[in-house]
Amino acid sequence: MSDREFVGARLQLARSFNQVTLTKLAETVSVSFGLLGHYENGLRKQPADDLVAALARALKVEPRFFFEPLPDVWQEAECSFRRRAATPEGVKKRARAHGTLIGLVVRELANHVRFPEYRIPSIEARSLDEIEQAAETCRLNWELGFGPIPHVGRVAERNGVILVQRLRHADKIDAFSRRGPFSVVVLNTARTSTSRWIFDIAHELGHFVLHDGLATGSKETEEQANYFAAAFLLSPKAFAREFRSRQFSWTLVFDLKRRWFVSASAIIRRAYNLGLLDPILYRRCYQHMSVQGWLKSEPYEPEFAGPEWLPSAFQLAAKRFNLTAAALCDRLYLTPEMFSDVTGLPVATDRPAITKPRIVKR
Amino acid sequence: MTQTWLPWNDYPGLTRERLLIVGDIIRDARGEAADDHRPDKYETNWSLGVRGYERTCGAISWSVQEHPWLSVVSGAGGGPVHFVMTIGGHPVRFYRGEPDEIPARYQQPSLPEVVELQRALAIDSNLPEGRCLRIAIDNDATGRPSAIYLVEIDEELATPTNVYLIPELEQSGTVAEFARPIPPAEIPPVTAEAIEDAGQVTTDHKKTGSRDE
Repeated sequence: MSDREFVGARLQLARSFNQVTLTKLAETVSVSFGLLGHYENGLRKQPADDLVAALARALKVEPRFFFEPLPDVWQEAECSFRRRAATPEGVKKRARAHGTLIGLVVRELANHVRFPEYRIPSIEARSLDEIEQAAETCRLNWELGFGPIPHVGRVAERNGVILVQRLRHADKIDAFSRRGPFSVVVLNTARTSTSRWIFDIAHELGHFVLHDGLATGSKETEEQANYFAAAFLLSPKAFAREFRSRQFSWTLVFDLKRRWFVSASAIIRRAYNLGLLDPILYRRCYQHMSVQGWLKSEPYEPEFAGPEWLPSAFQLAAKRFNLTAAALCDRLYLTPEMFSDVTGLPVATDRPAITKPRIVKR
Repeated sequence: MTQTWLPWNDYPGLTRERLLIVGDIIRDARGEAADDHRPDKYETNWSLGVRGYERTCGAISWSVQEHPWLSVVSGAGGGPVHFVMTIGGHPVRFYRGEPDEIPARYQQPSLPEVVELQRALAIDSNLPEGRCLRIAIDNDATGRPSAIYLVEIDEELATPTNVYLIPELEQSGTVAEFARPIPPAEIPPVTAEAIEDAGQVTTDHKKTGSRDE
């Protein structure tokens, strides 16, 4: 491997993804903390082969992983983290590393599989009325009508956003997205609320539409994306008509939840924003939901159609180009375990199953 | 006829329009069953009753796809189990007979019904307790429904506490009032497409050298 240059950014990438501190890694591979830091920052160039092998083992990659170019690192400014204000730096770093690794996998697939065209309009909208208008424009552009949207994930994927349902070990992030050469939304599998996933996808779409090229993460941009998500999922006229069709009750709210695929709390909030609930009733509703534990886990969760494009791309690549998960692992120099952790796909290895030795009695 | 009890005041999910639609489904299914009755082929009232019951269960089970507020919690597959549906989250069973002559086996809630009743109460604590709901189908001499009622029963006393005559949908004159809600958007599944000349494209790392080098 001495013919190729060690890429420190790749060491940092694998370390961040595996959530290993520099100190811990240095201890594991028996070198000084400072030396590892130098390799990461490019101040020292070529580590010894045995150190590279040890780093690879510790970080679940192949040694060659550290000697490839790293074309598209996800930068902080490009990413939108849902619940970003409360997100620790380490968790954000790990999420970005995960994104970068997904990018490597997608880049490899992109040589064989055509991506859906990116068709998300960029709309400048700051006031609530403008955001409402932007959500309506998106519905019209994507030919969704004004009724419920049963598969918001499909809407995102059909319009050029890759959906990955694999954000692990990060309960401080609901979802995050990045707009770049590949626009991706990563959902948190640690959360089990399907209505929340649906809202998360709509929220990230809101960032794509409203905050193209702008920094996100402030309270203002998060609220704008939230408002967009509610306006997009619950079209004002149709929703208001159905909300008003009957006297307010929790049965009505859960009927609407089943029909519109949106959480009861989002329905209550939307009804309040549209002036269908007065402030006193709104506060009482939230108090009731809190007492019932519905703010953490609601009944009647809708079915959720998970990501479709990425699994279908993997399937196609394997069938048509023999680019199986194992072959992708080889090309990207990832161990099957690491590949599974990044993509959520199992990797079939050619190794024979280890069986217990049998003691033969004579 | 002036109706003294309006179910939606006590059970918000049991709106007038929903009851009209369910009543219409039952009326159609049982009317067709009566049309197909062949006494000349030695069919009896028993076979007419079974046909009417099975067709009613089937018609309601199929209508679930069209009406998101309607669901079947027990008996969707037919057979000797209690048929329990929910209308707007409220469990309801149906029987043939007068509203004030409730057959003994319909006087108490069945197990799937109890589960649904508890779920409905957990969501809305203002619902009446100790009550269950039945649809009573009163037939004429030919086996066709002459009147359909929603009956609220006191579980302990096994007597009707409230009765609502479900009007016929066509004669109610209010169909336009509840124009059908906008249907959900139809979004076809997303599938990946191959790039035809994929073999000629090279990845970044292939350009710089492959693993086998």
